[in-house]
Amino acid sequence: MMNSTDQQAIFDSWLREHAAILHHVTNGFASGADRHDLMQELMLALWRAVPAFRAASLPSTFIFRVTHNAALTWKRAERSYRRRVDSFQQQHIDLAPSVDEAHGEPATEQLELLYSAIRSLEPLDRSLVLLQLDGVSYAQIAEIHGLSESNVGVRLNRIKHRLTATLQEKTS
Amino acid sequence: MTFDELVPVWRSSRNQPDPAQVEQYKAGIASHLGREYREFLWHVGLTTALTIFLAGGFVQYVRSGGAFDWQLEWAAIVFLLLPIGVAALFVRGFIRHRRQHPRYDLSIRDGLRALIDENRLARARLRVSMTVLTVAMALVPVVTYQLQLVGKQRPHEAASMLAVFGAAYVVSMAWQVWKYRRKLLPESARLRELLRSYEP
Repeated sequence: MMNSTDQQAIFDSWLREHAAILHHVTNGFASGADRHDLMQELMLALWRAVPAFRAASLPSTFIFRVTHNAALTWKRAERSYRRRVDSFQQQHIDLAPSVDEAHGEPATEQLELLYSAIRSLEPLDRSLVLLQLDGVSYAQIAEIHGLSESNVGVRLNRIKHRLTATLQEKTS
Repeated sequence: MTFDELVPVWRSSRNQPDPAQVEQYKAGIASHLGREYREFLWHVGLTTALTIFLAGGFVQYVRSGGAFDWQLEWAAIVFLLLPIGVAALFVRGFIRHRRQHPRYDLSIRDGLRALIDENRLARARLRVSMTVLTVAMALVPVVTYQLQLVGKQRPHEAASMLAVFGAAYVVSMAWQVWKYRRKLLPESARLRELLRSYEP
């Protein structure tokens, strides 16, 4: 059985290297103040999953599976929701895409537009497109979700067309 | 604007989290886990202390030569054994669930199937709990009648016992019905719909 010091060390190293995965999933599944709730949910899921990690798979694949699973089944708990959101708002934490000095505001708006289009998809489709945007191969996506590789390809093709249509609708 | 045109924006530095924010979340998680652990200890401690107090008191009473007529006071024994039977049923259900889903962590789809089964098990537990609670409530008048018959309870004590158990029964049943209908059933429907989206 893993002790809490080892669990903490693994958790810290995963967050150092893969925090972007959590950031993308959070923004792809939640908007506004809900993002604080989901981000905390993802971190809790990851912490609890550390002892189940086997070195046979890559940490990134494992983290993708745990965080996407948590996001897909996430449903904000009303009772604790307000407390969590208030706590993070008091600390002025903002999870929205940051403004980059070199590229400026328009690119940030484009990113928010893309996230907004992703959030308009069905939950499974959101997860598939987020994985692809994060550079995960079709074979890995199929393994993470328990789908066939060809099914992933067909679905992603359809999702991309739908996203392009949504983006054009939003920008026209 | 097409999807492919936005891919470079996705991969840019502005789609990265702020390390300071990640640290703040980690601190939030540590405090959440600490609170959760304290609550767990409190619940387990309280349940264990109550069980030991009640069962220990009874055993001590019998061992010290206290009068106990098995034929006239059997209802109290049945009443005390009911929670143990429920606990055994819950453990059996949990073991079956673990056997049916040994590799729930293989993929998200497998995890969803396990979650749906977990939800079914939680509903079954509530049904068992509500049935046993009703049986226990029906036993209370028998227990008080038998205790009065052997001279261990006075009528006003029996009235207090019935009032306390009656109130506890109503509150507990209301909470369980609410949880079954408002939480577990909608959650089951949501998870089933999610699993259906995996079908081609």
